[in-house]
Amino acid sequence: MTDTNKLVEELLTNYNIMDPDFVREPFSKYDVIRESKCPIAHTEQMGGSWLPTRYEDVVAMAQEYEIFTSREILVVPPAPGRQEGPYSNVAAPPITSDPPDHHWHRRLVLPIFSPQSVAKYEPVTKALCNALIDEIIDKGTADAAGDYAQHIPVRVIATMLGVPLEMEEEFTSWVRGVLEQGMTDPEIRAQSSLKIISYFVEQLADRRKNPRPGDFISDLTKAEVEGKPVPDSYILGVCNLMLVAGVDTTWSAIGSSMWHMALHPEHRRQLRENPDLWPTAIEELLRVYAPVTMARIVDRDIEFQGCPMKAGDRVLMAFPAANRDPRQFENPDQVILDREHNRHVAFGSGIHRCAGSNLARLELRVALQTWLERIPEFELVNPDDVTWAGGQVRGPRRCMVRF
Amino acid sequence: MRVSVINGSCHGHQMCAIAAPEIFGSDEIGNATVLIQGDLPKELEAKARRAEGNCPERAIVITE
Repeated sequence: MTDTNKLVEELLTNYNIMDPDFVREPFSKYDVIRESKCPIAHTEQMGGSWLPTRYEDVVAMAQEYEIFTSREILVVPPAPGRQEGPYSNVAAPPITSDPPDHHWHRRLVLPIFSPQSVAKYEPVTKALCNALIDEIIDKGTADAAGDYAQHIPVRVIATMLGVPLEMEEEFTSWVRGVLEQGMTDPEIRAQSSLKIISYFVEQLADRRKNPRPGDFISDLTKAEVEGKPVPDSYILGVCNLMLVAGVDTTWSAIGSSMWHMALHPEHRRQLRENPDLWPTAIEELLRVYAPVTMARIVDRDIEFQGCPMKAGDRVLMAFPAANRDPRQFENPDQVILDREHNRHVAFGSGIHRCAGSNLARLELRVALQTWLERIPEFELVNPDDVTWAGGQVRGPRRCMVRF
Repeated sequence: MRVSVINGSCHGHQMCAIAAPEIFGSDEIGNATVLIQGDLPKELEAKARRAEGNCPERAIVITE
């Protein structure tokens, strides 16, 4: 067997999405799998999983929600003891819900995240971005990931939840505990998850005693489904989701887009000269730098595209791989700011479409626009010095730029 | 040209409203609504095709 064949075989039968080389640059690996005789790879590593890489397969699986269930959504197996501990009934609805409960789990949160509802967070997002830039603009260098992108979504989410912005550091460390360190250390993942839920147990008790008008958590305590108040496990789960799904993900999308803009003066110029490009540019950045890979659990033994899947098998919904499938997108690795047809699935597809997608878009656009208005010219200090997180959520964690 | 959204197929990506805000809007839960009932003005036909080509759920139907 040649070395190339061995590498291909390794990716098809023994991939490891947490391997440092996979984390740094997953796209060439997705390409190899997608164009092989077996575009749905399999591994026994990290608890075992299937990895579809073609757009058509990823979308078909997302649509078949009764076969590919959302009872677990992390790309690694549950932390030991998670099913028994306190609050073991608290998940992250609606992302972790299956029908029939999924319907009301989703119905209650969608109005909060509609385009018209999230628009009111634009001024506060803009002010947060400006405050961050105020701190760095005179320095001439900054970490576009750690000094800028990282702080934006967590502060917006804290504002929405009605908790002090000072919680930022703890929120960030808990979320990274679940989605980054937690990928390889189940103990950290379980502890971080418990810290998030315990924090919201206190917040929920406080809101029941002192309800606040127009407050996210207070409103959920008043919500009813079929004449009955919603259970605490649901409210805690939604708060958990706000952090786990709303912080690392959007921060990663902003960070990757900042990294892209640092490398592409021609795109900065295009956006400056033609601001009408912004809407399609944001969708294109979301396509190319889709941060999130979700998981599904196979409900029953089935054969899917010739793959013998067993009940309980994990499937990694590689939306970033689907978004670079040349069968669906012309010149998939190229960023085309005015791409005409872009059916990207950065926010998933089907009934689990990311509930916060309109907020994520708003944050990404405001973060980029505010930076480019005030720091129109910038570049990477050292392209080799950029570090990335990967696995469940991909984005830069250190990205030094100078201006 | 007329546009419609297949009932039950839209999952609220809002990519039609981004591509063609003159033609598509959002209901209370963020699903697509059609703002122009009946025939579209000629100058919006290209935008309608663009919206159709950006829907990840293939939920938009164009009839000519």
